[in-house]
Amino acid sequence: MKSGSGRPTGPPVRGRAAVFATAALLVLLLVLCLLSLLIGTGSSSPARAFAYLTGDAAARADPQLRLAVVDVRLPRTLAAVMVGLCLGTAGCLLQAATRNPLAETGLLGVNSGAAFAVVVGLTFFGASSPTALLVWALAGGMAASAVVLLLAASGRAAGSPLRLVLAGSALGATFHGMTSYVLLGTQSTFDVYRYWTIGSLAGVRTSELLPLLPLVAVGLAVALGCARPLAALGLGDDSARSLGHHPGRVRLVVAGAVSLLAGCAVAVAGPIAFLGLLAPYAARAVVGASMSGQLVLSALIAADVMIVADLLARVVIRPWEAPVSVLLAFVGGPLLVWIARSSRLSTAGAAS
Amino acid sequence: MTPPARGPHPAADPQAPGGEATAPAAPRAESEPAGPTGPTGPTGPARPTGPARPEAVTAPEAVTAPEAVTARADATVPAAALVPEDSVVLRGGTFSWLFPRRGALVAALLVPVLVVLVALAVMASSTGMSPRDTLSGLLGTGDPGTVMIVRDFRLPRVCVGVMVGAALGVAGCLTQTLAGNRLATPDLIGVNEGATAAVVATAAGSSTGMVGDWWLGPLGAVAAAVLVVLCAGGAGSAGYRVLVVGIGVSTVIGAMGDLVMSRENDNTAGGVFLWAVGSLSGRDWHVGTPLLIVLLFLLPLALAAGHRLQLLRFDDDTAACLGVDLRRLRAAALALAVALAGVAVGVGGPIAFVALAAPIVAGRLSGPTRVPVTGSALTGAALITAADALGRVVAPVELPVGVVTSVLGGPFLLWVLFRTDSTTGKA
Amino acid sequence: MTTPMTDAHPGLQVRGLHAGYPGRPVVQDVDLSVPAGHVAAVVGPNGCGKSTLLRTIARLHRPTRGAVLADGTDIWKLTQRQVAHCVALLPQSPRAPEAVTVAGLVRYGRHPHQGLLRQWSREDERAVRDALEATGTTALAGERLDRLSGGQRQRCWLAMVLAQHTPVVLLDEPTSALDLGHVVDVLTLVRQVAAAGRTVVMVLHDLASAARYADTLIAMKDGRVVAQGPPQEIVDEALVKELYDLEADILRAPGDACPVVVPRARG
Repeated sequence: MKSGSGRPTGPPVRGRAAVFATAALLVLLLVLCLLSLLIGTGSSSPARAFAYLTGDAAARADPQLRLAVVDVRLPRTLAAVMVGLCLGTAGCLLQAATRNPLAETGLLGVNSGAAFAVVVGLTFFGASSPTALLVWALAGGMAASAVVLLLAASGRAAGSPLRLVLAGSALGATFHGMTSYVLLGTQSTFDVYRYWTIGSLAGVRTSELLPLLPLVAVGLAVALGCARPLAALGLGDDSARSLGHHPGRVRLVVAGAVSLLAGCAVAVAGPIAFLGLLAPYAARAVVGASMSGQLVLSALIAADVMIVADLLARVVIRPWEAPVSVLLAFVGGPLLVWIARSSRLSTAGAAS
Repeated sequence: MTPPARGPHPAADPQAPGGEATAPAAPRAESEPAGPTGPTGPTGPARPTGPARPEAVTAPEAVTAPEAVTARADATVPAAALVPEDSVVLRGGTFSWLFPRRGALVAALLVPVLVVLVALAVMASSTGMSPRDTLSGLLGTGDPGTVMIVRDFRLPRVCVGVMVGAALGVAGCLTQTLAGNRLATPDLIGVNEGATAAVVATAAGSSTGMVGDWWLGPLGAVAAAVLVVLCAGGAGSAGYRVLVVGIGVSTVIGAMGDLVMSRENDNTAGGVFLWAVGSLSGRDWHVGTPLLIVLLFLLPLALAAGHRLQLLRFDDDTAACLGVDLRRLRAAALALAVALAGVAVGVGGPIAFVALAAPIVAGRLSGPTRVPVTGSALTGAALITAADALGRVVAPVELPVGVVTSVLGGPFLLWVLFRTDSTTGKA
Repeated sequence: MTTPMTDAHPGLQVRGLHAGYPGRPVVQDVDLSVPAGHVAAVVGPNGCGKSTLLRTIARLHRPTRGAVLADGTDIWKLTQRQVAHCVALLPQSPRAPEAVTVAGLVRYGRHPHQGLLRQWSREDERAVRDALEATGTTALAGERLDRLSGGQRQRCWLAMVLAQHTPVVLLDEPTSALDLGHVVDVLTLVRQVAAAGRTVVMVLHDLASAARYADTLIAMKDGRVVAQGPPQEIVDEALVKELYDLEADILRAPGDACPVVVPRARG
């Protein structure tokens, strides 16, 4: 097994790799965004869509094309980028804060809280429009993670990774059980729920995305601000304290940011937690220990993978729409297995 | 479809067993005897420490061991103190056995509990059935309707629940010991998704949404786990990699199930959903008999492995030097865990939390020094029996056992682990 | 003391041993012969392959070439369990089961000798008692290991290894992180173990204590043995220079003329 000592890796090389990867991923993201605007399930051909984008007068005049590109594909593309950035950043933050490389964004109870709220909204309050579901999901995710944070912040070991994770998974399980309970009683709710839980970006509207932007912005800003304290936390709590950070408090702030970001993502795209596990994992494989590098790369990787999954969702079973979470799994699952097997993150010294 | 509940995260417990052993133990440092202590070091009378000591003295053989008196006049440890605190030694000729006193006590406590729970569960229903009716139904002396309900529906269902619980408990015990992590459960290696996918595939094939033959679930579960292990490059490899690969593979398998489900009608989806929550509804001897045969084969193996599994609590090098072939032991334990969890999940659906909670409770009861295989089996059986009975009583509509374990399991987990947290001072 | 090994056994032989990882040899062409009753100390700079050598001898690492004969038998022809009857290793930083007591830990040393029908024989009992006595941990038998100080804990681990009753005992830095008093305790104990007829091979960092307590010194650098022999004969300025790239004065201890290394300031 070739571990780090076998090759001449110094920080400069890794650093250059990180810059290169960032640039490549950015370019890829732009290309994918363009593709996402050009390709769709509908009848409008990519060439016509391209003409529309370049300002071709004839194309601009076509109302159907306008509908396809501006009202359907643009919000969808924006949503994919936003969800990707949110989940990538949130997953990376959470993995660093819990010191658990297997943590994913559902861990703080966001997903199960959102699912429970959606089910409650559907069953008892007659919410059925996509916007109403989005609001319910957002509120539920936030409320659940707030409870988790409160639990984790109490007691002597306030803000310890174990407390965060345990509180999150325990409450998540309870919400999951209650969701199942409500669903088993009401067939009509179940019918809507089973499409919500699969996750989809189809039908997202710009008017729904805009109100979320401030939340996302706050979350991302906190994330960037936390890069240094989190890197210090990576050295162990005692070292972090001697560097002037307060580990418990840092973790709670980070967890707050994570629930903001993950809550927005879940509200838009349904409970897609897997991306928040995969992206940081991949980012670590590229940049190693650098925290800010991981954050940026993780966000970009997640955005790229999300757009790819969404693009595939539109084309694989054309003219129907495939569930995006399924395609995410098909793209991400093998990727995760491949990274796990490609040895850099496997336990050192485990000789073949 | 809904993703089957993934338990709490495996690496969630970074200070899992052994973590504190390496921490500096400053508080007691002053009790250390001063000065050089060779073989002729301080030879004061052995300190009567530990609550278990008085019990151990009753070990009949050890007290009268002749060489303990003659050959070692200066012996400072009573022979009894050397015997494991919670056991009694039985010797005959060249053979010797340790009878685990505390383990036996726990079993003696749990078995009656389980029996009572089974009795209650046979009685339990939303309509209510008197003990007398239940008994007459059981004995076949009541009216034919009652006899049929008790003998053909309730009893087999409760027995299947007991077996599923025992299998889940032992599977959880094995995986937790294997991963050295109190939160590791068999569902991390794809067992749930595999079983669900197999069930979805059969349900999709039928027009009524009926779940197909019972053996498809176990088959799917075991197949998924084997796939995970193959993808991870063998069971003997680092446990961490198996977990990551397990997440990746089970995501894909789960997605395939979702894909099929998203094309199905609501009827089928509802049927599969009920299954995926974890339910014992309608399970009878048709399922119970093969399950019993499988368990009769697997549980003794797990029990036999328990002694060796203790050594996994050491680091790998030390364990190997104590004569354990780690690769083989890990592979065997993983195979056992997968097989047990596979049949359990295949029969009862992915019932949450039992595989996680049963070994934790059993470990609390039987003490930290042993791998609680028997205790886990009994606790798991008791948990499922109680949850299933509860689900039939509390609501007008029958609650699947998985819903009950999931709703109650969360607070339970918090209670157990936060209590551990506060008693040992670990964060 | 521990029960003497009644039959004289051939000790430990290592022949032409190569070990390492694909593309990265760590131990190269090592030949050793440590007779019964001898203490050998392996010294050398960090990363020179000392620990890998010890792990290979303990059958934890498969050699790419060469053989290890413990008690006259090639260890790769034995099962892991059989090896545990002839070689015991104390790793550098072993991890104990949670909440284990001292007696519990030492009992684990008897694991290779136990089975389904032989779970706690009189011999097991005797071995555990002797090991506790030999290491002076008798009074601690009922204490929890994780509540002891570092020096006490190290003695308990040694007791476990002794209870295993193997002709060959391997110790990986048994004195690291111990204060001078405990270092002397542990090394005195090691001498007693050897006096009872066992073969001891240990990795040591401190050249001075290695020189004082070992019969044979094995100096390694870059995976190769650069010098091997009685400490009085092989420890000199040149060896210290070769191993650690350090200018040093070699003094002779008053009394036994044991070499003492005094490094000079660098630069």
